[in-house]
Amino acid sequence: MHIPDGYLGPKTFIPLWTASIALWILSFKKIRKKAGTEALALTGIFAAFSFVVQMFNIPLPGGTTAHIIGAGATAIVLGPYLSYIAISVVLVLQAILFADGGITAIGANAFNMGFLFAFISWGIFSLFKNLSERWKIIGAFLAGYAGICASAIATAIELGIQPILETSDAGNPLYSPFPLKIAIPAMMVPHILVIGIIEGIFTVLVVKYFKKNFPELLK
Amino acid sequence: MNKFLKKYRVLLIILLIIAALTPVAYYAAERLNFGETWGEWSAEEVKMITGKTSTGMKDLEGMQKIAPLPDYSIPGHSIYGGAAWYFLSAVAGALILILVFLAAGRIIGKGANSEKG
Repeated sequence: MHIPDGYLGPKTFIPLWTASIALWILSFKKIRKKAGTEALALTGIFAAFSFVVQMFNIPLPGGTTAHIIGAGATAIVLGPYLSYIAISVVLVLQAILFADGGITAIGANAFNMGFLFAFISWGIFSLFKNLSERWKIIGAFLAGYAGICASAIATAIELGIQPILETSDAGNPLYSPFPLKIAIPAMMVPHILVIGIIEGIFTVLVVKYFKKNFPELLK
Repeated sequence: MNKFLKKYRVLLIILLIIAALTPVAYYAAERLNFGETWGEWSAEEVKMITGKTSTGMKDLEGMQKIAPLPDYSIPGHSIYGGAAWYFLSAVAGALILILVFLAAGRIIGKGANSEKG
């Protein structure tokens, strides 16, 4: 899901960089106001988990691969702002050291895989928060599932609008050449059918582990 | 910090186990020849698919050359060397992230009052 350099034109990556900087400042202020030393340190462990699980690329029908991210589990345990910051730091590291995701696309990738994922997961889980244990588990699954699907659809739309937004004088696409009708199914089918389910299960396992061992964090 | 690492040692052990399995993921991907993820091809590969060069893509993709370990590895190695680099990348990345947030906690964290963000 990491958009590389060259797939998004400046009409897309500049607004998304700008939005991400604004959202980073807002999150940083929120975190600075109340996050404890231990919550921040634990965020590092979640960031490390996210980084490592992303290295497991799962082969999928249609010749593509995809991976889980873990932003939903992080948002449920640590809150959406810390989750968004954790994923953003992971993405910066991946872009700079490992060429996984573009540097011009850091804003877009942080918005898709971090911001949307963390806040959608957190929002969904909060609907289930005061229900029975069984519903909470269902809520955790749906949070992970819907979160990664939201990231995938945003990525697909950003890629798919490139041939409309950015063309050469001759009318050829300057950046990603695949239209929405290719980009959306190519991104969504793997995430709806396979990766969303794995992400949902991962989210449930993390929530169950914290419920059992550190219930104070899930209050 | 010792107390923190002790409290979450089970998580750190699980993290290490997952990191230890990354070479298997690398090996499987290379051996089974998964190919590139949809939408993450180079400009050259895109040209092979569509028959046209995206000129803007060609200009921008060079930005990624600054990364020392592209795709978590060093180009031009054997499959076993690649797997080893993949594992080292996993460990190095995880370690950097843990240290960055430990430091952030020291600098901006609100002490024992462990509110979430």
